[in-house]
Amino acid sequence: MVICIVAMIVFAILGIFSAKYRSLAKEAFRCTFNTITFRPCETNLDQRIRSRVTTKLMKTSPKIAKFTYKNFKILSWIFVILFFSSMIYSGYSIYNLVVHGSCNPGATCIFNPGQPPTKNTCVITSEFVEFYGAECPHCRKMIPVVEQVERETGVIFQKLEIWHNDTNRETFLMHAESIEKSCGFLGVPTFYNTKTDRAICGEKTVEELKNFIIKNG
Amino acid sequence: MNVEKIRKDFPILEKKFKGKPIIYFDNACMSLRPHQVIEKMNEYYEEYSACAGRSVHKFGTRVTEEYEKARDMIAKHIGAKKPQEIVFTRNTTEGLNLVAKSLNLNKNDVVITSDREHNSNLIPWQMLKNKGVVHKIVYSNADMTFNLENLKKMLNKQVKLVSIVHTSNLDGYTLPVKEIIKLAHDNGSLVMLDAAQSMPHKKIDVRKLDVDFLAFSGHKMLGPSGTGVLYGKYDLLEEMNVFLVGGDTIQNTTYDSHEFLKPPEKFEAGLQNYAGMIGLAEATRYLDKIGKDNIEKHEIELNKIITNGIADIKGLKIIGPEQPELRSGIISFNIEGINHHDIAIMLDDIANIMIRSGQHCVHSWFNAHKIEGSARASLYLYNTKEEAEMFIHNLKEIAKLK
Repeated sequence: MVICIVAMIVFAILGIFSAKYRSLAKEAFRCTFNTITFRPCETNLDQRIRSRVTTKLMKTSPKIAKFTYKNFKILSWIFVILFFSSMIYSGYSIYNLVVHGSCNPGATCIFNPGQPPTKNTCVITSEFVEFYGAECPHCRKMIPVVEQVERETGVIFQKLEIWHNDTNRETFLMHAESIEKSCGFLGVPTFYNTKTDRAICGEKTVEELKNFIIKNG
Repeated sequence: MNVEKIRKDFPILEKKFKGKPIIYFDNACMSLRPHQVIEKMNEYYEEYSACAGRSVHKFGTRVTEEYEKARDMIAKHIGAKKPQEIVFTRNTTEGLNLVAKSLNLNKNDVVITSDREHNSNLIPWQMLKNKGVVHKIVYSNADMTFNLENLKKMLNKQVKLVSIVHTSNLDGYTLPVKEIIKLAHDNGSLVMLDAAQSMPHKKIDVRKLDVDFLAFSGHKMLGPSGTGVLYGKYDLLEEMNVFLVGGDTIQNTTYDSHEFLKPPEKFEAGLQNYAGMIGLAEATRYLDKIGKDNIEKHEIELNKIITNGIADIKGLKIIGPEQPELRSGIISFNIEGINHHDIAIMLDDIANIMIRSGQHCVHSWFNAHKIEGSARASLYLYNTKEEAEMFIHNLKEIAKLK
């Protein structure tokens, strides 16, 4: 039965730490193999799981136990689908965490290990970012340019002030390496794309900024 | 019969899981052992663990003495004429195979079995087809009782052997073996009984029954696992061919000839399970002390409680005759909508109640009746009314799942 597939993965992971689960993992593997070749599970592992789950539920709610026992096949399919989709999402998030430093770049970050919220790299919520300083004259000059580009392309730059805002500065510094690679220096204003990790720095024309969007969009 | 006192003899019954005591209802498969049997076996290992019938030293003499005493005790327990009629085996299966291989059966000879034989009393006969031996089945009545008329019709000069189960492990029904033996003998046929399920629970006297062969196991009657006995009338054993050969079995050999010993040694090849057989003899002593009639009565009493207690479960079907007194200590059943294995797993999980589920090695009957299997509770002398009530209560809880 399909539940064996999940059992195999769970027991295999638990088997790393405890020998008790290794034999169960092997059993689940045989059962899975039989399931995918459309044969009944010889070891009754699926049946044991169904019965054990039912008896656990019987203690709290006989009605839920009855429902679970009767619909175990459907429930295990739902469980398997949820299990695999959450596994895929977790894998994707871990990949993002390693590559982008955020488990979910461009959106609200749920998982952000080891860093206090003030240093949250997830302040970036959109693909294009403009880092600026409040008193920076170049930045001020860029305001109408950015406005025009935003109007004409539909792309909105997320504007992060880094001279006074510590959190934003942290974010800026986290991307310092990529910015320096693109611009050769660190400074404001910096227009940055979070997906390609490319940047252009300093006062730019409308055309230059549009080109940056086209190349990195 | 003082069940509480008996229970104190079984150390395993003190075991608890999750703070709850165990309820052992799988006695048709394997019984528990009293400390007397365990200690008797340990005595062999601790005090005289040597070979029997060979070495002349103190240990050798003691083990020979104990081993032959065991044979004598077992012979008396089943009412055999002499201890030489007791062949030690590993189990009932070996006893049945021994007769199938060693009895002089030839082409067109017929062997009759019932329709609810354990695989051990079915396959050995199916295998003889190569020799031209014909295996026939006598079918039961619709209510699962034995049909003597059917047997009568099948008996003729070709029938050399009726090999039949005494008490069925499928449903606990005891076949009318006295009548079967009479019919077979009148026809000039031999009779062998598979007594694996009857010997632990019933007083059996092989001479009163006048049965020719009878096989049983030790592990279902408080004895050690890996022990069994084949009883055979001495003159028949003498005529029979050897089974396994080698160590023991032999009077004398030269480089190109050999002379076999007399029964029972001629069938007991190689070094024997001394501790096991000495333990089995101790088990027969224990059973005799309590009295098998008392045990049988106790089991039927519990079977009545359970049968009546579970009768109102919707969709419950008991395999075998309706009356509990015809099913000894066995309740083999199915509840519609709940798989038999699930019942067994859940009883074990909820209340440490251990029962068997499956086809109980009687696949042929289940296949013929198109039933997937059954859950089977089987009782013995140490089971109590409270345990029976716990079983009923928990089974009713499980039945609510459907």
